[in-house]
Amino acid sequence: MILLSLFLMVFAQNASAQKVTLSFQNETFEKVLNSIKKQTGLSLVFSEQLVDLNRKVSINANSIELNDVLKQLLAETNLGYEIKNNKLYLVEKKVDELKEFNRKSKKITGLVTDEKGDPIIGASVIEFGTSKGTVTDIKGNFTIDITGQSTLAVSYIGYKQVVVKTGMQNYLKVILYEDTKILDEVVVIGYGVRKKVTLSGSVGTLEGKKLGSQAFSNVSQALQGQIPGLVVNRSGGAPGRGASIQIRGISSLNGGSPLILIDGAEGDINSLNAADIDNISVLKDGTAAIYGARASDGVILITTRNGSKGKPVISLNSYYAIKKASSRRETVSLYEYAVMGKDAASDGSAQPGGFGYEYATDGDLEKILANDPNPEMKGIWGQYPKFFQNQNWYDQLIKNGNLQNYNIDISGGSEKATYLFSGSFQNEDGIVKLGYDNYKRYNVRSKIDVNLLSNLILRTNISYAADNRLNSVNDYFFGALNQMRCWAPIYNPAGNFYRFQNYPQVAQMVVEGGKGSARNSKLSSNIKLEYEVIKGLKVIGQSVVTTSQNYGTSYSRAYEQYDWENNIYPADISQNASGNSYSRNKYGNFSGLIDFNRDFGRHNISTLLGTSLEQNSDDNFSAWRQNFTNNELFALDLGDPTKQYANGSGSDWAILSYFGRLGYVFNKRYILDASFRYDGSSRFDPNHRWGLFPGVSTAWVLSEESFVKKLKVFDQFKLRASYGKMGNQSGIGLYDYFETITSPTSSGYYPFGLNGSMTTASRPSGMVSLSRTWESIYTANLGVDISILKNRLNLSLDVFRKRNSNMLVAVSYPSVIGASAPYTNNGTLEVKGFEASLSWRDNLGKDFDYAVTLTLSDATNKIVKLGGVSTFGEGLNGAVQGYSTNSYFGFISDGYIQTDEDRTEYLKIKGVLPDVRLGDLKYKDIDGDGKLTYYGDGADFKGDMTYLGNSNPRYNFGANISLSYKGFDFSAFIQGTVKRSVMLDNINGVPYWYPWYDPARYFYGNTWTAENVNAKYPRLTFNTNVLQWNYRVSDHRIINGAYARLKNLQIGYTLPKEFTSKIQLQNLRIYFSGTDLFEIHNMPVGYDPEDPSTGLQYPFTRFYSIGLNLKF
Amino acid sequence: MKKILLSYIAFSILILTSCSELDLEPRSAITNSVYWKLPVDFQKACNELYFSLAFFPSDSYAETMSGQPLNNVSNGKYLATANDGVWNNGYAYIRLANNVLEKYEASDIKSKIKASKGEALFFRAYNYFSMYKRFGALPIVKTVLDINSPEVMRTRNPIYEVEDFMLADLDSAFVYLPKTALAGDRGRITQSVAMALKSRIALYAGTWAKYHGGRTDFNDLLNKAVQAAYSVIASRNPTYKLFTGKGVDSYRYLFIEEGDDSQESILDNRFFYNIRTHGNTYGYAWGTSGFPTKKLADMYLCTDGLPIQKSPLFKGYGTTISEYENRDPRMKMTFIVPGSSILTSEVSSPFIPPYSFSARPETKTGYRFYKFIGEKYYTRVGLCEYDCRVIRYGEILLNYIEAKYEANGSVSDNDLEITINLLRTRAGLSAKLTNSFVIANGLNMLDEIRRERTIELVNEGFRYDDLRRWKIAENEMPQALRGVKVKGTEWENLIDVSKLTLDDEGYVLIEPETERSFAVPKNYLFPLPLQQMSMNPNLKPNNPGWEL
Repeated sequence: MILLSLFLMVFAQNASAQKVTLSFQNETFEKVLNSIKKQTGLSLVFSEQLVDLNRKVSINANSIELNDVLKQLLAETNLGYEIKNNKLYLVEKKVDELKEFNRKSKKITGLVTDEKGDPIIGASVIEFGTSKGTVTDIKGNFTIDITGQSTLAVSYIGYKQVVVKTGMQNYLKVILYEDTKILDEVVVIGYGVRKKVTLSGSVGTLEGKKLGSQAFSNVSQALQGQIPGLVVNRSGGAPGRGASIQIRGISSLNGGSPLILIDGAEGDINSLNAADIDNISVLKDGTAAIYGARASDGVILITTRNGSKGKPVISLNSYYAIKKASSRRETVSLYEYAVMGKDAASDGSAQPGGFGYEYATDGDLEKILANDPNPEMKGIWGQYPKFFQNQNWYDQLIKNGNLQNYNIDISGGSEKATYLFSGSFQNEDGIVKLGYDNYKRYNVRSKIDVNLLSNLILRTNISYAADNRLNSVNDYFFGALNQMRCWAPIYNPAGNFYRFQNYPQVAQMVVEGGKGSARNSKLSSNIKLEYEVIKGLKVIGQSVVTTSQNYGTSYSRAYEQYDWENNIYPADISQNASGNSYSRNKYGNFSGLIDFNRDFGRHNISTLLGTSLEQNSDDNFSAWRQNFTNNELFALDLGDPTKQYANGSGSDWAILSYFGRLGYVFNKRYILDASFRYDGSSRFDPNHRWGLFPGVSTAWVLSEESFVKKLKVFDQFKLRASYGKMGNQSGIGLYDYFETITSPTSSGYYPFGLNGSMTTASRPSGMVSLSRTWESIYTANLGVDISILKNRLNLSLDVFRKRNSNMLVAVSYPSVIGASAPYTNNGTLEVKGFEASLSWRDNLGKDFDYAVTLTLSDATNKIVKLGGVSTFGEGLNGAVQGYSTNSYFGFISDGYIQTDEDRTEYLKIKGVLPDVRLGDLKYKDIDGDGKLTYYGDGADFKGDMTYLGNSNPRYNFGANISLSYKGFDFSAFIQGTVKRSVMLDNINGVPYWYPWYDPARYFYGNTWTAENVNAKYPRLTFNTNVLQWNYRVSDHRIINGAYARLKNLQIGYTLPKEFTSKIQLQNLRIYFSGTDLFEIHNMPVGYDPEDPSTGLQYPFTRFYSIGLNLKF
Repeated sequence: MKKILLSYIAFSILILTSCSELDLEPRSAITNSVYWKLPVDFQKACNELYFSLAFFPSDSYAETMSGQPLNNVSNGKYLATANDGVWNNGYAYIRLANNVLEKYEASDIKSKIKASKGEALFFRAYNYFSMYKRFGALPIVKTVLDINSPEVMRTRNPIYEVEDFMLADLDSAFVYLPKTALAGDRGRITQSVAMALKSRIALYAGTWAKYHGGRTDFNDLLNKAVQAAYSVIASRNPTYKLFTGKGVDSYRYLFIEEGDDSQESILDNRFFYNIRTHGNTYGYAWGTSGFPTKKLADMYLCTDGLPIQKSPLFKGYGTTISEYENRDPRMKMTFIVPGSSILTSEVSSPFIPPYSFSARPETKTGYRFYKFIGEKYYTRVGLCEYDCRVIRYGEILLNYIEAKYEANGSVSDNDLEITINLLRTRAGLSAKLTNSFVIANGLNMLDEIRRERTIELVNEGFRYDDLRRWKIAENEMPQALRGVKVKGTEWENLIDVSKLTLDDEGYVLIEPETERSFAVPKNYLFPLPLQQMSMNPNLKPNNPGWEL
């Protein structure tokens, strides 16, 4: 598309003979032209396509005639000029002059340097419109064959591209200037922006477009591994499922999550349309202190895209992804089950026919191997059929899901106003084959900025998001699926769902059990008025009002269940039922700001003063009825009015804040930023309501200092330091300072009276403390940013320490107190860590650019003080004084009992289970007192349990590689963690934990037997006491949950401009992308290192997608 | 610059908005300051205490019962634990009771809320008793504690102080409690309930002291038990009597729906469909809750009132049902006779448990419990509505006769007539226990009283505690757990004998004597929870034998 710029001005008189004075060294042609314009009063007419305004020219002319000046200026171009009607026309040289010249092929040599005159190695020189090109050598020289007059594009990473028209000359000197975009790049910080070069805090950034072209359910998932120090914990792969985000580890035992602000007000990251995101800033250190009481876990600032001046631009983006379970718990096959059952029962711990040992009869194994389709009727407990065919419930009930995303936006604007309208639709089908498993999201956003006056801007930003999660009524599908037996068929011979024994059947449950839907909608209006009082001084008022509504409906049907002979299990008493729930949230954020920012010579001063009031109100009610007259329609009216209940409640909170910031930059070298916030929260007793949260950060840009400049090593070298105090109120309930009475209680209702009246009980909600207040988190950060080798190598390193010195802790008091003691501001938590990122970008040859970014971050915590008496239990401990959160405590294993002597010796230790046999696990008597006892590190108990590691992910890393070659682009992103202690629990970690559920498959063949004495796991048994003994928490059960995961792999192709312009397109790109493609880890098969906790949740999924980006 | 400053000042004035935006009251929670004004507030607070009532306590710790897995209290392999639910729950409810008592003292409507005070006192004693039975000496907490209260770190009060404290609470409760509960209040604590519990506690404390030493005034305690029990027996309003509403089957039906709200119920943990239900039937119907041992089976008398060792009526073990013949009818009401069909809420139609071991319904002994199996199919898993009899008249009769015997060394025929013989008659056992019968047949009266208690109250959670307070657990508990006789009986033809372990006499052997132990004095009490001792070292030393 051609852009024509016309500059029309009133003209005075007599043109070409006018004399001008020009003195420019390496200035842009545009500047020179402007100077001519000024001096002569001529207006200029030209096509931007023809004239390279950025061409650097040098001219020294002292009162020289315009004609001569123009000749000199246009000498090496294909331009000529004409002066008519007070206008100076720059036009293409007459064709015939060039005709002959253009036919000839010739060799051009040249030199590419930076502005200091240093040669640039590896700059690419491409003849425009052809495939010819070369790169500069070690001295910055290049040679290229061109035909006639041509255009060369010279580019190098980190520098602005220069387009040179070749004229008659054979030698070209090209100077590349640093891309000032990098220098001018701004970073969004709280209530404002900072130039990246003068940023003094630790702020991670991510461009919105980096999230594009990836398939993900929602934005929180997409952030995984993208920003060092930001850790995303996913909780499963259910459609639409969000993930929790943590910045620099925890900052309190009471939880807390980063404050997420979307265009200045708290918002829900998961209901956001990823394509709307322009950039994301993550305030990790004291910089966040301007957000005060809720900033302890960092602040994520999301800015949405704006329209820009110009004709309407329409972009279309869409992708289609196939979704596949990446890890799923595997239970044994029937054959394995039977073999393991025999093995486990060999010690006499189960009778034939008991759970786990149903296949005890001789010949059973043969029948299984023969895949005998005939069950033995009444073969189980004399009641139920015994089957011999293996049933893989997963294979039968899991399919591939899919995810589709469509996004369209239109943007443009004029001098007066700009606009952007976007809309998107996402549809995600889960991996459950039967029943309902779907998520849909709709997003619409309208942003219109209007210049009401030259110094008054109104910014409106209205967004609407709606989603709907549809699932079968029992969303515990995967939990229930793991409880299906490897021998139980889904259907009986008559074709009905077969209910085996007394187990509700998961397939039938999801198909016939009913349906639930959760519909959420959110309307947010964000109106901002900016008034520039004088240059640099702005007064800004902003009002954000968001109303959200959640409407949930679910019904459970009454359905018939069949046994093998197709007899109906007599109607259950459990009747059909339906429930509706409605909740509404209203959130308002009203703020006023004064912002002043101006340069005074070498000083830059910025100040900010503001106030905000946030008000939140929640209301909800729900109603439920039972016993519907039919089994298909579930409007509440149709239910039994005598079998119903209704609930409702409401709550509010408010925060009033005053805040300010003072920034000072001297000579781009010394930077100081200081902020404060004074927050009052409704959650506290009025006497402990207000808190002051100051923050300060400073930086020294060494690379601006002459003694560093002299070294000619650093393109950027900056030292940063920050300190801040922030608050956390996560451990505080909304009305904790009131003594409340709970009624009805969690115990339920008690039926007094002969006819059973439903009687309510009450109990005090717990012990109350009036004196508690915010937790205060002090954060210190030291950082360094280094760019060397012409900005090709960038290194950024931050070390930090967070200290929560008045953490609210549930102090353990002796139980005689009879209630949980109130949390008091009595604990101390310390978090330390670092973030490092190293990036390299360069090109190999003219068409081949590449970049590699490596990040590594770590955060470790230690509970310095927990208050009261600290103690620990066997297994995973949330908090033990002196240890990290989530620490495991247990025994140290000492191999298996391999011989009878071994056993005799082991049994000499007091406290050892007397039932142990060969193949059982031994534990060490660490303290050597001849007894095996609990507490190893407890204050005054000597014992044999000790610290076994913690489950917090350590050393999170990310590696991003991107390559582009001509129209092709390729990127790969690997993310992972180096160390994490995990332990599988319950049916996942212990075979026959519940003998009526199938054991996990990884035990098969890996348990101790006389033939396999070095097995990974102890011998099998149904003897619960022995089982529990063998699977006491010990180092034997701890697994290192380290992993590396290929998060994303993408190959795209952008069609050549020549082609796309023919079909009226600006841009057309198609791509293939894969998310979570594979992982390397240490977990038993079927368990994901990212979430080993249950194995019962919705599995993580891989996405294989194909997508299209269109712009016209 | 001036303009800038002025703007800032103007703005600062603008933002000094009022702070009242932050004064938000709860919209849907009752605050303590508006509560405790009406009698119903107190009643509701007391209602919560009813959730501390025992929930179908079983005999799983005792040698008369076995389960899968084997119970590690029963076989003496129990290890001290970090925490103990009985301890934690006990003190949690005691706090709630103390709270009601303190709020009562502060109330100006005392005359209208007397019953609430009585209930709170009752439940304080009730919960102390649960802990006392298990741990012995305990820290007595009489007030609502704060984290700074010195009581939090106090030592244990000696056993006798705990005993006296519980009895005093019940005496005091008696003063405040109503004589009877109106129909709409059915299930609430009355004076008789307090006295019934008093008889239980006094008997426990009296026999404990008598057999374990300690306080010497145990006869006073036993007499208190006699008096308290007698006051219940003699109470006219309400009149308690044994449940006979289902004729000869009354004993079995007493424990399921049919027995609810009968005159035999003194205190029930109540359930009602649609309000509060349970799944107790499940465990017995499927055997997962455990099954009787041979020892229990052999304790039932024959219809002539003689033990099987002495009675000519005993038919031996030849068939699967022979040992059930000519026995105390309570045996057939407590055990499922093999091959007989039963109704159960777990299965829709009459159901005949298969002749097999271990498979479901599970039994490893060959015996199965019938008691507590509900019959109403619609109350399936988790939806049973029969009440748990926490204190029933039958127990009071047994408390009375035992306390009287322990206090005096003898009982009169009349006392036997109004206690044990009533129970036998209700069950359909015509043979009566009299002094002359005992002498004539070379029996021991105390043994017969204890046998009657074990049989009548089987699987109601008394046996293990009784063995301990009688100080005979060390002899009884280590005995092998055995099941039916297989060798040379009908069982041999019905099941795969090779998969069973049999003892020398051909009985199913579940757990040999060598695997069972009852250490003295260690196993007479449970260990204190270790974590509690680590937090409050003043609780030390642990109970004898647990000091590690």
